[in-house]
Amino acid sequence: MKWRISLALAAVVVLSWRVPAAPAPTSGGTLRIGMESAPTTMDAALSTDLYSQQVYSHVLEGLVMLDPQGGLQPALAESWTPSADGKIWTFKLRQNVRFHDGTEFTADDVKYTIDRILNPETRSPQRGSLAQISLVEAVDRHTVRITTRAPFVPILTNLATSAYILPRAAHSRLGREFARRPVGTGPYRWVEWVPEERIVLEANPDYYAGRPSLDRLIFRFIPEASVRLAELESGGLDLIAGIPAQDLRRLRVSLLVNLHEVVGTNYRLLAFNTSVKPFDDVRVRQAIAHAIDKQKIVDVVWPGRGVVAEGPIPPTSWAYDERFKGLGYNLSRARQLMAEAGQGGGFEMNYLISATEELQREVPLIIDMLKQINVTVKVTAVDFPTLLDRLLKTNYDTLRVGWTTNPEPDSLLYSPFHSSAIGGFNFTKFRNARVDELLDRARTVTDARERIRIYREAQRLIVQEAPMVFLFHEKRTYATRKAVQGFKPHVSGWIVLKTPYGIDVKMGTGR
Amino acid sequence: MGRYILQRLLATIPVLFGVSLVIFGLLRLIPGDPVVIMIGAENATAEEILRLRHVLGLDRSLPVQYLKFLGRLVTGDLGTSLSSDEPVRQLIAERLPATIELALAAVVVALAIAIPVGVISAVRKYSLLDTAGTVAAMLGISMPNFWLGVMLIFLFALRLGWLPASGRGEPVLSGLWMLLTSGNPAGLITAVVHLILPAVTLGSALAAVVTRLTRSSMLEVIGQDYIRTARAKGLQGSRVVVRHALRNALIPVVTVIGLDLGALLGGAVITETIFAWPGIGRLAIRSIVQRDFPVVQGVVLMIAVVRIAANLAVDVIYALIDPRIRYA
Repeated sequence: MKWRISLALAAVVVLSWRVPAAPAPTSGGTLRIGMESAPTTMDAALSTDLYSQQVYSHVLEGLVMLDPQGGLQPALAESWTPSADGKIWTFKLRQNVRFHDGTEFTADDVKYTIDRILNPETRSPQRGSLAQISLVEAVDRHTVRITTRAPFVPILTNLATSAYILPRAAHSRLGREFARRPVGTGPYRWVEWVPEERIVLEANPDYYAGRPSLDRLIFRFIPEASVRLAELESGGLDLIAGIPAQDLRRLRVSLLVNLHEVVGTNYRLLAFNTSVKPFDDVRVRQAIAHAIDKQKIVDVVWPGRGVVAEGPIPPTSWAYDERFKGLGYNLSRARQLMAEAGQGGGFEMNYLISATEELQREVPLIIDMLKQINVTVKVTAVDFPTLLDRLLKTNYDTLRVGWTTNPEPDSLLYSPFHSSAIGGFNFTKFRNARVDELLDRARTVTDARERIRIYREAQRLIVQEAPMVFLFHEKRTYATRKAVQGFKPHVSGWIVLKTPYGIDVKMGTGR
Repeated sequence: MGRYILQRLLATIPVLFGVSLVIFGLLRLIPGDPVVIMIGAENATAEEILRLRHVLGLDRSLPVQYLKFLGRLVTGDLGTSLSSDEPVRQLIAERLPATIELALAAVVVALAIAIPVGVISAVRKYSLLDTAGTVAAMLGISMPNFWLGVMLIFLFALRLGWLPASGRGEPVLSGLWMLLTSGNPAGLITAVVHLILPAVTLGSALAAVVTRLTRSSMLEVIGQDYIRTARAKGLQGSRVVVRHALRNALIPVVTVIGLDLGALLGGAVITETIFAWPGIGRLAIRSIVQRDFPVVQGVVLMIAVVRIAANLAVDVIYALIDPRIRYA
């Protein structure tokens, strides 16, 4: 037996030395995409999940769209102007655009789509982000006027993420069936959906911004990260999202694939329930923030996958403040703050996490770091829906979670930190009158530089009050085979392959 | 026999009722709100959460929700998915064939390995072959699916490039149909190469169990008088083993296969996840994470039905293999 086993091992070793053959030139341009999970629906109004969005965003389009950096770009609307009081937005629509079934795209379709999302009977989870809209009017065939209850600048980004335009005629005709074979104006047309297995799209030859270079897209749903990567490396896929941390270093120098990374609009955080002792004392919260070595956490648990956070606004945001420094690692300051708060002797801290592999590796570091200021960490690990439930009920002392939104700073900051959201997603019960005032004002100001100034001030105040410890911003990672050209990673985790503003991914030949 | 089957079928009704109550209760006991999970960070306001909960009927009392669920169930309606608004029956029906195909393939793989190895081990007791079979069976039982699956992918898909790493490619039946109607074997080949690794992964533990069972069962039968009589009459050795011994030794094997087929259908979740196999296990996992109650309830009920049916089938097959077994 023994020699058989060693022979088999030898075979494996020899085989692993084999240099992978250069891939043959790819034919006609089919891009095979590996996603982490299967989508649930192609009815954009009924889902907020990333995986559904990664597919239907190639078929359906909004009035505006977000570019890979999160900036606004025209899509079905050529231009838009706010009224003087900031409450009415007039969109000039692109002309001579046709849906995949041949019908013309008009203002009627826009009104139909948004009214449908706002109708509670539709049970759209997207409704919240458009709830500020009080009226949608089709002024003429190519002009739409959208009125909001109060001036609300973030509505543009929310339209981009939440209002994918449906053809009124086709949607009324297909009904529920639409969620299985959507009809849109996008660069790709629907071909087929084999549940849990694949979705196939083909190029829309009549796309108003020119036919896409890729003939076909095949989305496959592969939950295991290592298997997704094996498919990519063995030539079964061309593009995958979500790369396991342990493979990043190897992929950076790979001859077969290119690695793409971008810091997403998110922050990973340790939250305090500011309504319970001792976390109602800002000095205790600051002390814990100063006692945590964020760089070490990134280096040990998330190497290459995170950048240390100074505050909630990530470096890829237009509101990012590169000169701002948050509460950095400073043990003597941490001890001093604990002493000032009368907690020099320390206390026991209940810490709630969701039971993922990475967080379970992160926890010992946190335990160790907080031991330095005499805080004993008691960990409870639960599954994510349970964590979310306890978070929303503020049924915790401290917990570890991530906050991921669209690139609009309003989404990053408003619901976690505005006092009106206590009872909702302001789960730390943070309350600061100046922050409330700033976040409200930023919604009404159309001047971009003024908005930047406001968000930076809000960030400074929030970090100082420390309702959370902002640990790091997580990177979005993608890998493509070398033949894929022109791919850009998107801050929102979307897969963008063809746009009216210049992105057009191609398949080259050879590697 | 017909009356017996009818009795057994009637007895399943209280079982299913119990299953429905337990799964409904368990799902509501675990924390987690499907609406919060659906709605996402950007859209979440307390008002929206309440509104959506109301539209979905999740704000009604649990007994009312259960009675509604039960009322629909007796008409064969499993409800609609909270996250996709599609009928649960349709979601399951679309994925069930893939799971059945995988489970059957795993049984075929298990039998193809286990019966010959088990028989040889029994006939050549304590030989080198027997020892090798024992060691292999121990490995098969001890190796977890998730590890074996990943290793097989690493070796056969990534290093050797012989087999695809994941996915289903084509249903076996449609491949077969293509071959019969147009003489084109391409579809069937695609189907089979995609099926090999997941079927081996899922079937390995069963193969190991059945090997041991076949061996011990064969040893018992071979020692019996009628086998000695058969040999004494001058019958050929292999004929005695296959016709006389194996047939009787297979009775416990059929029991285990039947019971395990039910378990395989419900328990292929890990294998389906690793190999991105488009079956109900994938649907179940996604629905649990999304707290999509109607879908989870539907899948669990369906698995319960399959297991009950498998048990019944085992009892019926007993009687066919061994005519001495009769039902009162």
